[in-house]
Amino acid sequence: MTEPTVAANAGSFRDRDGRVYHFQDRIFRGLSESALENFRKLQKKKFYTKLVDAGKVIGTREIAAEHNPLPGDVQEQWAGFLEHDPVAVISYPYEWTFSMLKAAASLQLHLVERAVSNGFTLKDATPYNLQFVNRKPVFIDIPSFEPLPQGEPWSGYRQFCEMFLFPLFLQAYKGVNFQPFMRAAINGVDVQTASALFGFRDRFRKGVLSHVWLQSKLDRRYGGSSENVRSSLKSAGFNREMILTNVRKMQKLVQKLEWEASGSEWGDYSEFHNYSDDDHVRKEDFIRDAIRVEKPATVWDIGCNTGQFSRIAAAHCRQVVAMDIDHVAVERLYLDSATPDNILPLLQNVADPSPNWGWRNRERSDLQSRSRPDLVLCLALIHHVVISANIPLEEFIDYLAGLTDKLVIEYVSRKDDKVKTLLRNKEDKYQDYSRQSLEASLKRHFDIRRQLEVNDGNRTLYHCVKV
Amino acid sequence: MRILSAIFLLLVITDAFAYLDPGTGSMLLQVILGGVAAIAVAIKLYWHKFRVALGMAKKKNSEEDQAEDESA
Repeated sequence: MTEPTVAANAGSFRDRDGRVYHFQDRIFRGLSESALENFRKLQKKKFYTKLVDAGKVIGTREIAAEHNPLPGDVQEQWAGFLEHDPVAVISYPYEWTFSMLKAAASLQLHLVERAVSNGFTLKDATPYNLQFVNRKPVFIDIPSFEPLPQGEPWSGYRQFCEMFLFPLFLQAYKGVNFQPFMRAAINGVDVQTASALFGFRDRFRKGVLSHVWLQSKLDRRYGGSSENVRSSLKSAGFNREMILTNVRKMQKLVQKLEWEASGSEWGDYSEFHNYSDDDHVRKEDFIRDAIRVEKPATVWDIGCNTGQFSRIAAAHCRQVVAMDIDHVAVERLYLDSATPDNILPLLQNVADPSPNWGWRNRERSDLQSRSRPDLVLCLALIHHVVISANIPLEEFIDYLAGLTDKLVIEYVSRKDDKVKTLLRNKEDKYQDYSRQSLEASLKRHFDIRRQLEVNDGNRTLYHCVKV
Repeated sequence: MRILSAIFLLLVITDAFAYLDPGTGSMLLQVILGGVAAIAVAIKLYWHKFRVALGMAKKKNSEEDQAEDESA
C-alpha cells in the first residue's frame, strides 16, 4: 500500500509565513513562529471569535504536534500547524457574478473594520482569500490577520482597489463584465489600467475621482520615490482612525454599487422555454428519477441557466455546482432567496473553461481539479456547444465521459426553434449534429439506461451510466 | 475638506520618478481618504514644502530639514 500523499497548495506560496497543505481530505496550514504567535493572540480576541461564530471566517484550530498527521519532513518546516474546516468547492473571482464579488468585497471591508478597531489589520486584500460556503462568502486566509503596528496605513488598500473595487466599478459604471479582466491578470485591474479605462466623465461617478484618478496620479508621481513613506506617515501621526474613516466610506461606496443585469439572451429563458407544462413535468420527473437512482454526492449542472434543474438536483444530493456562460442568469440564481444553499452558482463557459494559470500554471486551477462531479446534467446545451462553439459532437461527449461516470443529457433536434435560430446565418456543416451520431458517441462510453422523448420528439433526454 | 487636502498634496508633489514601487502613492492617498483628522498629518508630512510654498522658509537639503524638525 502506498503512503497517503501530502500536497502543498500550489497557490499559497506568496506569504512566506505559511503554507497550505492538503492531506487525506483535510486542510492544514503550516505557520512560521511569528505567524503562530499572531494566531494565538488573534484567537483570544472577541472580535475574531465572533466572526468565526457568525460563519464569516473559516473555522480554524491549532493542531498539537502529537495530533498532527502530516509527515515529519513537512512538520519540520514550520513552527506550528492550523487545521481549517474544508470548503466544498473552491471558486475564483472570475467565476463569480457581480453580486458575489460585491458580497466578498463587503466582507473583506467588514473584516478590516473589525480588525483595525481591535488593534489588528489584514495585511492583504485578495478575493482569492474568500470562498463561498452556502452561498455566503467566508474568509479563509487566517494569517492575513496581523497586529496593526502603530502609525501604519492599511497595506491592503491598493490591492483591495485592484482586485475588488475597480472590477466592481467596471461592471457598475461601464456595464463591462469584470471576469475577463480577473482571468487575464492574477493581480486584477491595476491602478494605471483602471485610470485608462475610466474617462473624464467617469470621474464624477462615486469613488472614481479619489480611488482611481487620484491614486493613479499619486502612483505615477511617487511610485519611484526612495522616501520611506511608511515611517514618514508614522512620524506625521497617521493613526488607525484614519484607516477606519477610509474603510467605512468604502463600505458605503461598495454597498451602493449596483449592476443593472439586463440585455441578457438567456436570463429570462426559464420564463419562455420551449416546453408545454406537461412536457415540462415529464422532463423534471426524468431528471429527478435519474438523480434518485444514481445518488450522486456532487452534481454539475452545465448550462444551468437560472438553475431550474439544479434546484431539483440540490434536493437529492450534497452539492450542486451550477454553471452557465450567462452572467445575468447566474446572477439571478445567486440572488434568488429561494435558491438552495447547496447550489454554488458559477460563471463558466464550457467551450472556454477556467484554465490552469498563474505561477508555473499551477497557482489557479481548472474547475475539474477543484470539484469532481458524480453526475453531470447537460440539458439543452449540446446545440450551443456543437453549432455555436463549433466543437465536434464526438469530442464533446469524450469530454463529458472524462468528467463523469453518470450523465443526463438532452438532445435538441434540428426541428427545434432554438436550433433553427442558431443555424439561420450559418452554413450548415454540422453533419455530426444528429440524434444518431449522439447516440453512437454516447454508446462508446456509456450504457443508455433510459431515454424519453418530449416536445413531440423534438427533444430527447438520455440517462447514461458508464459500463 | 478631502478636495482641499488632495489639492494640497498635489501642489507639494514636485518629484516624478520612472520606475514603480507599488503602494507608495496608495499609502499617501490614504492620508487624503483619512478624513478631517488626517489633514494635520498631510500638513506635517509636507511641513517644510508647505512653508517654502508660502515663502516662510527657503529650500534646504534634507539633513537640515531633519534638524529643524527635531528642534520644532
